[in-house]
Amino acid sequence: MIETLRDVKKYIQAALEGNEESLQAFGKTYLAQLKCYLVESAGQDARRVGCPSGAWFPLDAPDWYVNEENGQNGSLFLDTSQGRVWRLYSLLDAVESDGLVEKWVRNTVGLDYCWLSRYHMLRWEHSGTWQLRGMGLRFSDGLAPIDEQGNFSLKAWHGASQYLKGLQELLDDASDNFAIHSARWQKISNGSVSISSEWYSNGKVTINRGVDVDEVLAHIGEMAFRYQDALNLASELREEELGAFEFNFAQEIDLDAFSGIVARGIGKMRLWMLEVESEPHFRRFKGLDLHTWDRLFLDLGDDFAYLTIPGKGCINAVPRIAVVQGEDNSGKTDIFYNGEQVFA
Amino acid sequence: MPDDRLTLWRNTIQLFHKYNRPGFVGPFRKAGYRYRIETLMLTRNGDERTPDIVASGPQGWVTLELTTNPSSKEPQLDSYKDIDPRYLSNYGLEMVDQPPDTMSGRLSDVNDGRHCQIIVKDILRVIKKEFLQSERLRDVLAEAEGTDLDHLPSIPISLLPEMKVHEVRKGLVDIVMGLFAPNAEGKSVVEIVDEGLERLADILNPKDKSRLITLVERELESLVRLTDGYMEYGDGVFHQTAKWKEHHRSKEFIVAKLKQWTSRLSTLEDFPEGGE
Repeated sequence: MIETLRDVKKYIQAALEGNEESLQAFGKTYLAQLKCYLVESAGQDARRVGCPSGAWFPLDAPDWYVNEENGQNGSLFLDTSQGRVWRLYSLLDAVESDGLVEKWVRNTVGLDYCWLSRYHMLRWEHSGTWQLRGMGLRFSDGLAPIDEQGNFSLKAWHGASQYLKGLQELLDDASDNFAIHSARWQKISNGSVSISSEWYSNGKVTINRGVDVDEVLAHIGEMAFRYQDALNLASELREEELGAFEFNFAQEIDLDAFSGIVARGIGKMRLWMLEVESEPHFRRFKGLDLHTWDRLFLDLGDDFAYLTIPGKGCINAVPRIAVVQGEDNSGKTDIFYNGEQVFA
Repeated sequence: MPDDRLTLWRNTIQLFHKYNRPGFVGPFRKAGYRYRIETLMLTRNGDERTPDIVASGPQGWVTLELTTNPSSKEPQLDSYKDIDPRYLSNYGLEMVDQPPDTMSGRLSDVNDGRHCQIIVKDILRVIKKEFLQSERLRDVLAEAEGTDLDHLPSIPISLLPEMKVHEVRKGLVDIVMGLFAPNAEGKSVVEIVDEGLERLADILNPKDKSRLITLVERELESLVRLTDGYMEYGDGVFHQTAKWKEHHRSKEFIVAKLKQWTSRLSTLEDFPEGGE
């Protein structure tokens, strides 16, 4: 039974080492890879929100929990020590893990994913020890009628461009215009790979390879802390002043289509809104974010939007809408406040 | 019909902000001013003053009074000259040891005496700049004259005292939509008004708030009649009924009814027993 943080680390270390051994021996991994989900919690108590599988039991370390179900424990570990940004570690296989977490987040009031901007996902771009090994790009064209949608989804790993002339230029163009859905990184230490990780826009990371558990936890913690800092800053800005967050889109928005979709509260954006002012190239909407049923105001131009979150609405809506709308219909989306980038 | 009071507040507040698209730098932002709203300040004699907006920057500070009232605000603006600037630090603003610049913000011209005036209806106009002490503020306001203010972002406040009926209705739509959240228990009219007032809720004077509550209650009663049984008033709260099921057609219906409600003013049809 896992009862201490030390037990957790030993367990994770064994999983990392097991996968390293099989990778060296057979060129692939057989054990489930470590995953971590960054979950935004609005002041929740872990024992009250419930567990994706079983129930939470505290470990010896403050604010750490392990799940227990039917006498078995140790497939999920939760670190709530940061307060607002929880880290949920999983050693289940991806399909089961993603399904459990999705249900938990969606059905629990006060929980949301941490929505990573492209700048968060490209965090280590200028670090000497990290290499970007690939990117996943996504554009669903969600405002177009189903039969006319120009879906784009691409995952390209480092090295592919050498096999096809013009591919790198295409990838650079696509990256400038579409949302980054995932980014794969490799850390090189003493000439060899010490961490290989794939980050997703919903705050999930899969550790494809890792040598040392503490190094892996530090890597994940770095992103979590950066996201928390961004949330704290955005919260302060919202509370001190009455300005709006600004989104700049790479793609133009079909404002009529947007209006029709949000009036019905359908689509991936999960916004339910009424158009209250209308001009050909500028519309004002008031309504709700159906992830949280919080109120928000959205003023939309052809290639930009202003987002205002009144009252006690959760500031996590800012990166969420940017990420979800970016992947659905607006392409590469940058977030600003008073002209300066935030969530970057 | 224009949203008068909210347009006034929105277009004034955004003069303190900057947006990349389509390219807007508010003059106060350009001059380095930071602001607070509905502040309580005192004069050196201890008399209370509550300007709508107080702002300070490296070279001066300013008090702003926003109004759609056609009578002159000159006496009020005169009284702001006596505010002790040391109270600026209570609000995290830079302390500038001199009397403030005093300004009124309006949607149309009214003579407010020897005080600068900004007209923020759709195009920014600045009147009587010569009464500003701060040369920097004078310059940035002069540069900004003629700026299009029509497409600036909304502010988080959606209800204000002295709003007209059509403004109140538009200010309520998202709060009403929130009544249809899963397991929502409903909201009293006071809770609804507080939500709309946002950060003004705790500082609005009781008389103004009471008037607003009465108006909101009346308008919500008219909306209840329009929503065909999806919403009702009972046990002191406005709430969804058992008829409501979360489905895109129901959401579309509610949005259509809200659109209808915000498109028309109160009529006798809204009050079958004879109106106010």
